[in-house]
Amino acid sequence: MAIKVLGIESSCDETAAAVCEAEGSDRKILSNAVASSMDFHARFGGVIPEIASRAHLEAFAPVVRNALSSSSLSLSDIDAIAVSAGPGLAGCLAVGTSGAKGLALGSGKPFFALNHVIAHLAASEAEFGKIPDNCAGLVVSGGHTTLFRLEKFPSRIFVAGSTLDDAAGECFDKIGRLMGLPYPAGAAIDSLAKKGDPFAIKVPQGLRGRKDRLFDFSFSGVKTSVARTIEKMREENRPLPVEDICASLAESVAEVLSRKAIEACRHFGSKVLVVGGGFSANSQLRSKLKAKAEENGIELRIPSLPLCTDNGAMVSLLGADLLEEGVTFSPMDASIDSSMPLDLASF
Amino acid sequence: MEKMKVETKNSGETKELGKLLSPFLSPGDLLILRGPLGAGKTTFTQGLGEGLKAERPIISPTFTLAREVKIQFKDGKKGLLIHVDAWRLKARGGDIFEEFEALGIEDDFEGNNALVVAEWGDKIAEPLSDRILYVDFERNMERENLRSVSFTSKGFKGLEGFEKSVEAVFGSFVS
Repeated sequence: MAIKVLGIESSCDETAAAVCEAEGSDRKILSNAVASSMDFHARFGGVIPEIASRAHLEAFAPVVRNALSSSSLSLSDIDAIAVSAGPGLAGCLAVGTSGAKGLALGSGKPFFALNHVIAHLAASEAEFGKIPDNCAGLVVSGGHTTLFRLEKFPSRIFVAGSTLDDAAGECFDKIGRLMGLPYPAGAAIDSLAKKGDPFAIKVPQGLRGRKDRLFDFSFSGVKTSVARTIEKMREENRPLPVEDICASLAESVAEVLSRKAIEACRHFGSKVLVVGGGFSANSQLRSKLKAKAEENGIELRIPSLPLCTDNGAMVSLLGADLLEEGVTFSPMDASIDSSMPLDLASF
Repeated sequence: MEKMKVETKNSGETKELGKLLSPFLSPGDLLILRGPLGAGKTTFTQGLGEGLKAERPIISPTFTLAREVKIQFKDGKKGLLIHVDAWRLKARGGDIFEEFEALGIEDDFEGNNALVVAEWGDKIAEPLSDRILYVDFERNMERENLRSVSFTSKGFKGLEGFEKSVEAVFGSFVS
């Protein structure tokens, strides 16, 4: 019998809610509603927690109502409620999690407080179905860059490596800031990069050849190197080749991410690579992953663009996986954790 | 002793400098780190974390604006390192106590044995403590890996002891 899960997401600037339906390994998104407060944050060069929390508070009820009505369901038709309880901004997580608890208490439905980063992997299930056993997983976003071994999703997953300093998206944002690009810089760098020469400027690839750090990432050196290049050019009063800088930066980051992800597949004997997170919307990364996966006979499961960024569908999908697997529900006093660890995935 | 300056040749040395400072830190201290992108602020903090036996790795705090990591001070006292990226908070021109409240951070630092390390924290983080150490990082235009790191105390007590251990490891330095 098909199960239906309401998923709620509020870890950063997006207030999102969605309903998915799961039966066997099939998954279907019935609705996917979202409200973003990004316009308010852009002028500060990043999400401001206090503003975001207030925006979540205002958007919560309308977004949940929208998700239910556009799937023509009421709360009583839902089998479980899932919410991102971390990692993220504490005040923001608190709004979504408290709201989800309220809905669960009021409707008598079970409730899952789950990990936002793991939910990014579940996003692929909307278009590709349930994640099979023994996959490799890559989550890349503004706050995370992590490679996983997915022995059995979602209950047996392990962190294979992570960034030692900056996340990939953060590196883009900081360099964007230096070049005067609007925040968030990901989309701007992506489109400028298409017009530039990816080999015009030498950009290092952090930890590329390090055997002891096979699945770890480092983008701090990338950031420093590009910042130096920019400063030097400014010092010499040379015009900034913004398109070439973007292209070279994107090339380096996409290359190291995809190379290590494919290496992880080889290492784990995985035939499927699951990718998720806001940065997986980056076109240079997508085309590199696609090419390398094809070369190596690996099936690439990367969500379409709207499901890469934060959304409620991914939370509902992970909730459905947990429900199907019979994982114990979260207690009503489950707390948020702004730096929720990934290694245990808390299931 | 209110000011000192050290040159580091690579990121390993910048990290070492942080490690050398760690025994001189106590709960309630505030470190304000200044310097351009990629100058070594997070690397230095990683050294602090190493010296203070941080329970989890120190990574960039930019995304969540603040990361709390359990540490242990030199006298064995357990505590918390609150690692803040204040760039955005400053851009907004807000009140640091209000911003911390929104981030779920308790503001009784001394009572909670917390040490605050604020990257880009000048002109916003100062109200947090009256024991402040400013750490300024400068990159070198000619030599890629070279950094000069200056320490300026405003009520911070440990600079003298720190100077001696830096001297022992780095030899002579500009002071």
